[in-house]
Amino acid sequence: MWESLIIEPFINALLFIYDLIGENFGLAIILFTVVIKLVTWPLMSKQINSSRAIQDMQSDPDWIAIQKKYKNDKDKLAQEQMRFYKEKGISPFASCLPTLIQFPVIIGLYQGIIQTMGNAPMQMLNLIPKISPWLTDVFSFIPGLKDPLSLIPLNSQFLWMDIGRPERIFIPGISFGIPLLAIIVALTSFIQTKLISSPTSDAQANQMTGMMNIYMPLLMGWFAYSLASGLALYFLASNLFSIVQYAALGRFDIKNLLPKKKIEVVKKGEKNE
Amino acid sequence: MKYSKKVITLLIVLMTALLISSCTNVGAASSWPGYTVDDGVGYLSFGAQTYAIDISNGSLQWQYPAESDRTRQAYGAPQVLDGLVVFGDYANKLVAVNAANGTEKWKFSGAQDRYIASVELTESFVFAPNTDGYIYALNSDGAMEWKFRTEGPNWTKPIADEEFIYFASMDHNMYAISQTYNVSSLELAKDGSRTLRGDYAWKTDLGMAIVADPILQNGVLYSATIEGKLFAIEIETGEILWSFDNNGELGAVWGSPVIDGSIIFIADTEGDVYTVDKDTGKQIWPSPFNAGGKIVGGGALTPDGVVFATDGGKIFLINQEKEAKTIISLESAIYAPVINEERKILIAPASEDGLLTAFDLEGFEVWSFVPSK
Repeated sequence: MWESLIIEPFINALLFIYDLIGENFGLAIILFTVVIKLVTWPLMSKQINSSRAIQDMQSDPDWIAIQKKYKNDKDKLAQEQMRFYKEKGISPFASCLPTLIQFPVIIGLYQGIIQTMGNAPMQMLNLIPKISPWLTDVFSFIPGLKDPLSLIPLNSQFLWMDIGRPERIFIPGISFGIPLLAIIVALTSFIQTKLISSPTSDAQANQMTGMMNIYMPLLMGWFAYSLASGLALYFLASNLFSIVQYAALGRFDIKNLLPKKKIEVVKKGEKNE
Repeated sequence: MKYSKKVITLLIVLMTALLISSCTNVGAASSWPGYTVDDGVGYLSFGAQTYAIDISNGSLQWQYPAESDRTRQAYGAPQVLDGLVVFGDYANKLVAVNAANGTEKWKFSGAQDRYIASVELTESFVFAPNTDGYIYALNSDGAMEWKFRTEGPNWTKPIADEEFIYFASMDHNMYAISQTYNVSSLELAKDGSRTLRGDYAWKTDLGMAIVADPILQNGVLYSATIEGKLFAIEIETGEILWSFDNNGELGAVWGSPVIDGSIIFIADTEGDVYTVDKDTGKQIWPSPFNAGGKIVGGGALTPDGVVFATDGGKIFLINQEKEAKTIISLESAIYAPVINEERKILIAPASEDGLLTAFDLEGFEVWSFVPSK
């Protein structure tokens, strides 16, 4: 069910784009990521707006006052929080639902890319039955479209990298390969998380966000370093698109990149405790 | 409270790591065992090791490398000639070892990508197809004589006759190139390697990628594609004599066809076995026999019929009259070809319970080789 509803359409869509743009797999991954991100734009926007509303709420004087007043009475605190949500028209779960809906799409996109990159017998054996000409049939009016099965094996060269292998760039005079793409992925992950996370009055929440801002980019960088470069391209395209999306929604603050601001806010948060 | 938030953060990061790694199949075997039998010894590559196994009793004669190297991956069936066993791996290395004791004789590191296919050995050459898009011709000391460029990765074993080598590529073509090249047709590269400048005797487009090893009999090559089309190609000219696809019903073919007299048995990943007239390409049985599971590896010819194995672990025998008999059903998936050696059916399941197992035709296990951990 998961395979036939999510993975197979994604694989065939990816192959369709690959064929359409002249058999460039790297570009196909980037375009496909952008298309999926555009399709899920409304859900993502809703999630961003809801998350921001909850973040803003953390700095609301009334909210802070409730936390202080009922800090020793958990039942009353919960009641007051619910009243506050109602008054302000905030749903604490509003940011979860779009995420839940997007989740299978993102996982499907990710798995679709991995499976299409298959360059060993077992992967190819699993990939071939999933390839179907339905998209080629639907768009048969486009001249020059090929039977998707005839596209196998895919051209895995993109710029200096082999899409099916971890990326390294070799510079004359340096004996080892530099993982340029992994560095860019880590950097864009860091910028993305920093730009979108506003400091709140809650020092502990800030501390947690600060840790995530370090761990997640490192983790993404590690995956981009060790996995096939096609996945690193997906991470990069996804990060860049998210940054653009936040910017388009007016939801990122360039000042968040500056460390000074963060320290001040954490101190302020500590005073509030 | 601070401590628990740190734990939550770490848990989120770890969960993300787990999710991403589980989706990428990190650590999963990327192929199935490749093996061959020569003079009573089975030579098998699977993952980190290549083994020599006594076919009479399943005992290990030697393994390469002697010390296990977990980073090594090798799956192509080793080939043997004149006491030399040659096999490649996924780290771009082609190795020749002494068939008697497994000691390394030479190693070739000139290719840029994986060796998925087996090599072809002749008195003068080692022909080694690589996924970097070249066929490498090495001399018996492992030095490269020349290389020939195709337009895609090469996953199938070449076949040599007295004069030519024939090989099918993922670039959709079947090639024939002369073993005795003209020096003027060699292009010298900066690294000293010599590339044969597209001097093939003929090249025939089969329309789709080819992953099944072709076979040669009486001047005709039989080769099938991932689209599900079997071709008979005349080796003198490269002309397609006939093709068979059962009106598009034949599925992807991964295993070599098996010839039994005038009949070709061909099996596909839909689990169907077809019989085709070798001379005309006409279907013999009105409908195929369905085995109930994917058939990936090629079959083995026995006096009683052809033995195939499915990815569901079923090993069965089928004869020209379409009479089928299940020999045994195993728990393990079987993707590797079946080999018949002196009425022992050799199976290489993708399982640690038995890497290579011998059965008699009644389905009784004769021995099973389990590698030591």
